[in-house]
Amino acid sequence: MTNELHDPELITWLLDADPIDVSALRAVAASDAATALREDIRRDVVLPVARRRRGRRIAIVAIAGVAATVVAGVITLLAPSPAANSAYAAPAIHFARQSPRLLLADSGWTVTDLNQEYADQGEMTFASAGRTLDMEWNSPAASFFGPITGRAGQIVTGSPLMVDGHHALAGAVPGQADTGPRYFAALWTVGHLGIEVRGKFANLVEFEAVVRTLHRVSVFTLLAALPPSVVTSTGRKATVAKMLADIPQPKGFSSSKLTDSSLLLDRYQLGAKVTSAVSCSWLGQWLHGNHAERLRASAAMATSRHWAILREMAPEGGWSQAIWEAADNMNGVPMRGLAPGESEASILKNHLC
Amino acid sequence: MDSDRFDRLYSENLPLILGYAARRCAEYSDAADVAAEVFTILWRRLDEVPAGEERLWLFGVARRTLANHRRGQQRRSELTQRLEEAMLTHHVSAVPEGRAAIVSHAVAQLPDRDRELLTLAVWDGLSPTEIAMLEGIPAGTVRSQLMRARTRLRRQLERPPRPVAPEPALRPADSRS
Repeated sequence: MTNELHDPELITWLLDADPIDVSALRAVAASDAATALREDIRRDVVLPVARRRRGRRIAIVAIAGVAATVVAGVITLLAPSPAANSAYAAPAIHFARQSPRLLLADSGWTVTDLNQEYADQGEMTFASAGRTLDMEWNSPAASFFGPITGRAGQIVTGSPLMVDGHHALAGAVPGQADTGPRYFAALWTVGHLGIEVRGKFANLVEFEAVVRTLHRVSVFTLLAALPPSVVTSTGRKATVAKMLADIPQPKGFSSSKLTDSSLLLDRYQLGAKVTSAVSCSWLGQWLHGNHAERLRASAAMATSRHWAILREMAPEGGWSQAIWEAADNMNGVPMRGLAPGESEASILKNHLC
Repeated sequence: MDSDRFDRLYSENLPLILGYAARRCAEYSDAADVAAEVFTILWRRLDEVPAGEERLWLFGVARRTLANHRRGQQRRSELTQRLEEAMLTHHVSAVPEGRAAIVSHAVAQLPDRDRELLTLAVWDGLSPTEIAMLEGIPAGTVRSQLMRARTRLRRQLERPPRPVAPEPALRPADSRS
């Protein structure tokens, strides 16, 4: 093997060593199997069609017959008390106030995901024992349901059921096999909100049994049910403290900036912020401190492979590895692959701060 | 129409996502499952996918789907089995020979992080900035990690090849001591 490996050459060699034949993949993508899969995915009609928020304003006549009997009252979202207000991040409260505030009664079902793009539109996912139930809401109800009139005729032949005191319609999503686990959907309106839940269940009876247990809860019950990945203000302070528990911190290090933000962050992003703040602080001491301070910084960073949050984050992305490599460099492992003009300090700062 | 957009994204990106999954899964069936899941999520969330960023969005979904898949959330279906069969029929796995085999072996010897970065950058075709967005780390970090991964690969390739022990010749049973 030559000693003069230039990058373009190396890249060419790497391309030749790709364990996957890219042209064969293109042939697979053009195959009947790929076309059949695409068509099957497109038949998964409930979710994408219902998601079109700027669709045609077609009155959902078939559903309206039942939905017109829906209690006309708009959901009155309880305003949180000032004391409670301070316990949650503003985006979380906003989400809870604008949502239908429905949870499933069976404690086996937990909220695993939520999303809110606009004030009166959002979605939540519940999960239990491998099953999921998606709930989506939007306003106004007519424009939400309008685009799905195409399947309303079939859904309306499904059974009417009561969901939290409101008349709903439930049925199998059309375009699927008649037997076996299928997607079922239930639609109803609450005031200006159109609500749809859907999930893959063995049969309609099983689906309806779960949907019937949806019940309205208070803003704070809903907030408490949010997945752990959504860190509320109070939760964030405690979470940051827990993340820092096994991390040595330099003198004068303050976590206040980490706990002040009102953004909803998941654990990975928060973990990256926490470990970056501490590591950057140690790096400052390592770069600019006296001999004893440099030793302390090296020793502190040498423990980073044991930091629980980095170990937790490692399978999810490259952040942990970046910290560990920087810690190695701060403990005498020479940095390899430095480009001309690049200094170890600048790369470490780039890594950590 | 949304369905037109979906069809376009499907045909353009299915090879990329299948490749991404196939390079990281032990079996075609797993790669087919992951790809099917990714495009199902695309269909369901098509409205949310930013125009012009679809490719990276799909890689992000593929990454999460793969992580979930490894945790055992497998969804087999007749259609993904057909996709798996198509992968077999079209011989998707390349068997590196000659220099490619040496490079392949050297890549296999690299630390996991180096191997993943080179895979993302060369075989999956992502830029350092895209990798950084995918992994939620600074682009500068990716660049320097990539540089070091390339350096380590070079060194791996510059090492003299290890002598390979010859296969022991079959001997008649009576000649064994």
